[in-house]
Amino acid sequence: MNALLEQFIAESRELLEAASGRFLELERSPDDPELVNELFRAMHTIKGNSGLFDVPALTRTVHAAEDVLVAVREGALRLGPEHVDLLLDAMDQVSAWLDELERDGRLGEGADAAGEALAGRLRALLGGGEAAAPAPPEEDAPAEAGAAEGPGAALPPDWAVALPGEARAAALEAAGGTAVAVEYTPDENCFFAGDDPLQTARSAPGLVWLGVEPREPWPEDPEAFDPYRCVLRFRLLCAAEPGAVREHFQYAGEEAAVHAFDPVWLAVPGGEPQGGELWAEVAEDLRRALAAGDADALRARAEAALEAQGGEGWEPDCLRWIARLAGREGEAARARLALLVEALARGELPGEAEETPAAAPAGEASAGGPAAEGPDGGEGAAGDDGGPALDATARELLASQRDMLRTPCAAEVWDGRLASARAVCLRVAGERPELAEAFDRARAERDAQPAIEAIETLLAGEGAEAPAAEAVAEAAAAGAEAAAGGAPAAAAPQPPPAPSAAPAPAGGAPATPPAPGRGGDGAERPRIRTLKVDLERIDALMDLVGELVVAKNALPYLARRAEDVHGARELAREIKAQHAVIHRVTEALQAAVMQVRMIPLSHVFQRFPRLVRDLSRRLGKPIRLVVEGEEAEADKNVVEDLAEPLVHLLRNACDHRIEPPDEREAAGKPREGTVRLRAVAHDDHVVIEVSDDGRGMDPAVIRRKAYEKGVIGEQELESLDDQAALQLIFAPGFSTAERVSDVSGRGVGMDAVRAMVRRVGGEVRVHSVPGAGTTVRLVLPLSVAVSQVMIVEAGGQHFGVPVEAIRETVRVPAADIHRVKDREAVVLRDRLVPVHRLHRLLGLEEGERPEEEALLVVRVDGETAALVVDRFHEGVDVIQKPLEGVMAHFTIYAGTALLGDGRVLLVLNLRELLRCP
Amino acid sequence: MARIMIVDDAVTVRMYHRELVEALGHQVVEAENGIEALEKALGADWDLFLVDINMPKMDGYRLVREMRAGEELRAVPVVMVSTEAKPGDREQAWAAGANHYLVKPVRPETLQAVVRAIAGEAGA
Repeated sequence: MNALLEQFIAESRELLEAASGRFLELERSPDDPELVNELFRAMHTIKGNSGLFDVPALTRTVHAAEDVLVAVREGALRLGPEHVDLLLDAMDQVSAWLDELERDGRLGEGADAAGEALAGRLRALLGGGEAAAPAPPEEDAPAEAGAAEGPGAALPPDWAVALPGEARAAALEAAGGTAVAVEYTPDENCFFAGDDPLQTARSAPGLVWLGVEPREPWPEDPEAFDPYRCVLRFRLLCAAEPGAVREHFQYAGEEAAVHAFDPVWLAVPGGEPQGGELWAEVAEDLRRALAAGDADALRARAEAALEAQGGEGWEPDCLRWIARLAGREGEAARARLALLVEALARGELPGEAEETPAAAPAGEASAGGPAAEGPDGGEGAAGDDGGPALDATARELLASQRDMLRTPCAAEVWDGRLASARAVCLRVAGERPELAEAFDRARAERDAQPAIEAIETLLAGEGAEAPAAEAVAEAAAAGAEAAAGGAPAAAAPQPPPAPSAAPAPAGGAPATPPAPGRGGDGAERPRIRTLKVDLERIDALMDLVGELVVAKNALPYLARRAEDVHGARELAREIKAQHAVIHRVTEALQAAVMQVRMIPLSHVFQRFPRLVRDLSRRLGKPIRLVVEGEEAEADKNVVEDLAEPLVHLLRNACDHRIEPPDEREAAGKPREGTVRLRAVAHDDHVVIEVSDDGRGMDPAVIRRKAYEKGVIGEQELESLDDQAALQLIFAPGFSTAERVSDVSGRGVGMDAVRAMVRRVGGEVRVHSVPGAGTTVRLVLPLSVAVSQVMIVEAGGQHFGVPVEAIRETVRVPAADIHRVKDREAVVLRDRLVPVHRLHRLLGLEEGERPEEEALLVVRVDGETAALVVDRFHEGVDVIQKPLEGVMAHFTIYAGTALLGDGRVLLVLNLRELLRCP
Repeated sequence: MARIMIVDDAVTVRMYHRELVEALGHQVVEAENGIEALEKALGADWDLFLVDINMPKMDGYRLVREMRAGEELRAVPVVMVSTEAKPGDREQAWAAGANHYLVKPVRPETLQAVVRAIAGEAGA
């Protein structure tokens, strides 16, 4: 994630840099909509990006700036020089924070306060001229204030009402018009993300009460307890602005259900009612005081009665709440007081059943979220014929398709929309014929209803949708955004904000620390040390280097022409000398560009500890992963292509090769298996090894299996040595796994691994000692760019052969090539080498057979072979391009290359070519 | 391996999404705005588009409408990933023809779960 932070800092700096200039322009031409738009987008982007990091102060400030720009865009605010000053101050502050972030990896101590102050000053601009009272900084978001008032909204969740009386009393006392209850259920794997949920909960703004409890009863068997999983639930009562609390839990997303409500709803008496006439009399007394509107008298009487009657039980608790509520402002408080007095008289809370706060108080505020899904879809079990069980994500996606299809749309997108919903539904829910039919019917009838119904049935059939929690979380998230976004409040389906809550213009917030100046301390600005360059530009540079290499290749031709055609031998020599110089510079240039594209292997390695840990748990085997050399670098493409094969290899090692702990113990090994992932960089290649200390592989078993599966014939069964036999695990369709597990599947993996490694020009070998372990070694080129090929001629045409495969070039008398059965072979250095005629492999015409044959001796996959060619030519550096389009199927060619004289050369893929009969 | 287009004008967001998607073994193509996305998309098969809403030149809504009204990309699933969570934003996304709606910052697990559900996971 460090790379991500770097990216964020770089992108934000760029945007800020541009924004500062734009703000100055805006000051000159405040009516230019394009300028405002551009600035808005810059702030919007920084804000959106910053949400990925824990920088609330920065997010807050940029968010406020964005809101100011929205107001400007909508004509609600006209920017004056003092506004621009403030915005520039904010940009400077954000810039300073970025420096802190780069230096320390986090924002400094005073950031929160500074951010709050700046955001407050910016939002104060939005208040317009009329509201003159300075607003405290925390009341900066107009849409938030008063959200708890109004009908229907704002009941606390059940659990909050059930909290101990003291906790609720403290919340009531501390909170103004709004209290906030948070149920925070962190992801079970949050520890691995470096989260500290307890710290998050403890540092919630205005925290009054915090409860921590297990989500499920603790397991009886301590062995089953996994200390690495967070199985706790945190419940908080906060006396703070809902916006601040939501902002605090912004990064928890749907894990934190935030309920804002009027704290008077916490006034619920507890304990056993005693009953009796006495309480009715006390209630009558209180009722009179209430009717007179005398808060002090009410409190005094309640306290007196409490003193007289003793402290325990339901009725005294009632009195305590009355005393606490007495004198509290607001309609809700007065209503609650009346209710409590009534309750005292009756011995129960009137209408308690209905009063019980609903589980989803804000459900109706859900912005288009999935509606509660009852089991009324009929045909309860309709969904279970075939497709996989639906998980939460699948259900959400299905609900989205339903909501989308329900939403009216323009005629021209109707078909596409239905088609895409169909695609999503079938992907998510599996191939269910009834679903496909419903979509077909919808298309034929040009009415989405059948499809909507089919989705409903599916959702209903798979059990209730757990609507409450989802809707709440969603509403909370939507609410938080809408509120914090300072969006025109009229558009929100929430109760309208109290007009008095409008923030005030500047002049307030005297505590604002001085913003860093934007001229004076410019010298301290860190110098730009890294440049962010679009990969496309580097690729363009690489292409140019490629062209240069090709152009350079033309010089030897030119030298030959000078000599042969013009007889200028001296000139030819000079050209050759010049060629040598250009060659050297080109090589250096090429290496330099290549260097730019290098990234450390840690980019892929860093996710593997987690992978192995998960595998270890799933397989029930303790396995330790040791990673070494992740700082080694390779070309970006190579590193990216590496991820998939490595996942396969690690899975295979954990699943198939590490023995179960008991078996290991019996074999005298530690119970915990070790898997080692090691990278070593060399000059032009990098070696990556995945090794394990598992059971190893038996070449005899592999040989037999390969024979049984038809991977090798009878002859190879006898002749293959142990090392060669081990390599058979990479053959298509080979697997030694006795059983098919859900971890590594059927052994298509190793085949795929080799294919992927070869695609980037690498090679993979396996080495194993039965009982002691297995090592799979990948040798990868550092980059995939310039390669050296030798040009050979066959059937009158030119072809390139990769130089690294060539062992030697020899000429032998034609008679020395012997026929062995239907093949040909030649004895070279006392070894029998199979001979292939290149023109025949390529299906070309054969020329006259000379007395002496030209043999290109190559080595592929450890096998030596000789290719008969018509003629050898020179070796050249080329930029190889893969074959595209229909040509891509011709696997006997590795690619094409442009030659110095403009010809296109086909480069042979010897591995595939020699596989041809 | 699925092919997934990530359309967002913020490089950081593209990088974040790319890492999450590539971790599932998928191939990613990035575009900075709707126009670039359409240009890059044509002629290839796509399993999923992750689309931001607020972008210069052509915004997310326009892009989805163009996809749905066109021929080649009409059935390609689109997940909107946007900072906007104002009421009415979802409705606009639905009307344009987006298949799902996520609010930034998206939790890694959430994004991956959605991608996995629609495009699967390579190498599993």
